[in-house]
Amino acid sequence: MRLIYERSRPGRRAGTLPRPDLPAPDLPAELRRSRPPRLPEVSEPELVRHFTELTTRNFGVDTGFYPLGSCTMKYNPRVNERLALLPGFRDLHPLQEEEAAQGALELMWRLQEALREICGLDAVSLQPAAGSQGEITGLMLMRAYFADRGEGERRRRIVVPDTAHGTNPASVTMAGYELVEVSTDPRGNIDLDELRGKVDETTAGLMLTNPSTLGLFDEGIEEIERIFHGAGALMYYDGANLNAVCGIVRPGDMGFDIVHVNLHKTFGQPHGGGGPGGGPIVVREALAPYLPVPAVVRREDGFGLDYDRPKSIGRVRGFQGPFGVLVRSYAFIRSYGPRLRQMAEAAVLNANYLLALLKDDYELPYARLCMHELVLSARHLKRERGVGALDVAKRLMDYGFHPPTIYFPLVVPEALMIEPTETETKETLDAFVAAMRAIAREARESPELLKEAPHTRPVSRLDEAKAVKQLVVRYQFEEHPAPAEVA
Amino acid sequence: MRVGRDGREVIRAARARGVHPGYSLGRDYPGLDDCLLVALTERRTVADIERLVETLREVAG
Repeated sequence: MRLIYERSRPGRRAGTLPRPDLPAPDLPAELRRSRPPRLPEVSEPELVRHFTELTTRNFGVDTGFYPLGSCTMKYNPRVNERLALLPGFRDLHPLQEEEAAQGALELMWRLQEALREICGLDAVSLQPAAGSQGEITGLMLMRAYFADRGEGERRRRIVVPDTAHGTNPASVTMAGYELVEVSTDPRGNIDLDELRGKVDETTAGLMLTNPSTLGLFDEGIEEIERIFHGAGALMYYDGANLNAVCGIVRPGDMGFDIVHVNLHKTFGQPHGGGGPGGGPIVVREALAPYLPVPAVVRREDGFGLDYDRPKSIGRVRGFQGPFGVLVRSYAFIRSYGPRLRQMAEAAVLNANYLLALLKDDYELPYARLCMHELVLSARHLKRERGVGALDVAKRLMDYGFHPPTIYFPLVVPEALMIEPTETETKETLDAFVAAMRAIAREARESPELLKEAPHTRPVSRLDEAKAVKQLVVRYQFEEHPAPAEVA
Repeated sequence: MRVGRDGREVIRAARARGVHPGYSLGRDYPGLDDCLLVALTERRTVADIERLVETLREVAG
């Protein structure tokens, strides 16, 4: 398709700005431009057609099944958009005085209460804007907690399993801690014998996703809790996979002390385009004094912001957090009410349905029922036909599906990580299974078809290394001078 | 601008008349309790500005 600059014709307009009713200021000559900025000049129908056509080049959860593992690409209810757009929320200035922002503050306080209950913990900060920021905030809380106890110098190590999301070790390093990796055992749990040898009085804590990125609930979680708390260390829960257990089991009851919740994943916030996200952290009482300021609190005369927290680690984000995300998430949670458990149960059922139907066509590295996502391997196809997970993923696009997460977790070669979420119908899941089976058949009969896929998309197989190294992120004005400049 | 009395009270009184006149600098700067920070964007008309002036005349000290 043509770029907007290629549609541009000098003098064409899509609209006119309102005429100001104040006199135009007299700008000094040296501050004026010598010629207008080079903006695309198109008519309104051209403008609408251009951007509408662009939207058709995107694949989103509104256009098709999007089983991107660990990303929880569920349908985002439209009614929540309407609520986030209520003028009282939409037009509120973040510096509005507390007395004139009572509705917003009450919503945040009520969301905090819901997250406390969901996590089984005591105190919340809604500030972190994403899971990764929740992680670094959680580690800063650990540091503040141990420093306050005089153990800051000694406790410098954080244990992370080899199945962890990449953000976990990155956060550990950013927070100035030393990373200790622990292996996964043949059943897909943390190797407890290895773990016992790696936790001692120098350990600050654990970062764990449960269920893990293998889609498996760690069966040793009670022993893990004894090991860490027995050593005086803390436990951090990466809430990326909360969709599997929400309303069924609470991280606080598993022994976790700090949790981040990915509001954008679990509670129906549109995501996948780079934001906005939400990564509140929920902590046990002993860590509450260190939470970011200001805290959203309920007082006798209403709701307010409390800055009087002398042990706080300080602010981690401007204002009180990603407010639109908070509105949608609160609405999402309230729409389920006490039935929130059904959301997780349906997500787990859908994933196990796919597992049961696909385990004979692809390898299942851990022969167990899964939680909200399943990890398959294409290593048999790689070995026998030279076709890998990447080729399967690209071919799925020809069948109209977004590819699953591939080559992750790292412990599974040729991994295909599939998360259907609770919002898909049986018919959609069946169509996905049919496509995956057809692709497995194609891999055996005509592997070239997969290696050259996708065949039906606007662009074919990309040179991904070149795409990363030679970024073209703006129009090449130098190569395409404006007509006036040519003249 | 100095409004002759506590900025928060001026904002409260103006808001009761349907106008949000600005930001009370006393929230950040002790000693500037009688000051408002007022910003106008290109979206405000002359009529809007006149309404703001009229409201502040009524509620300022």
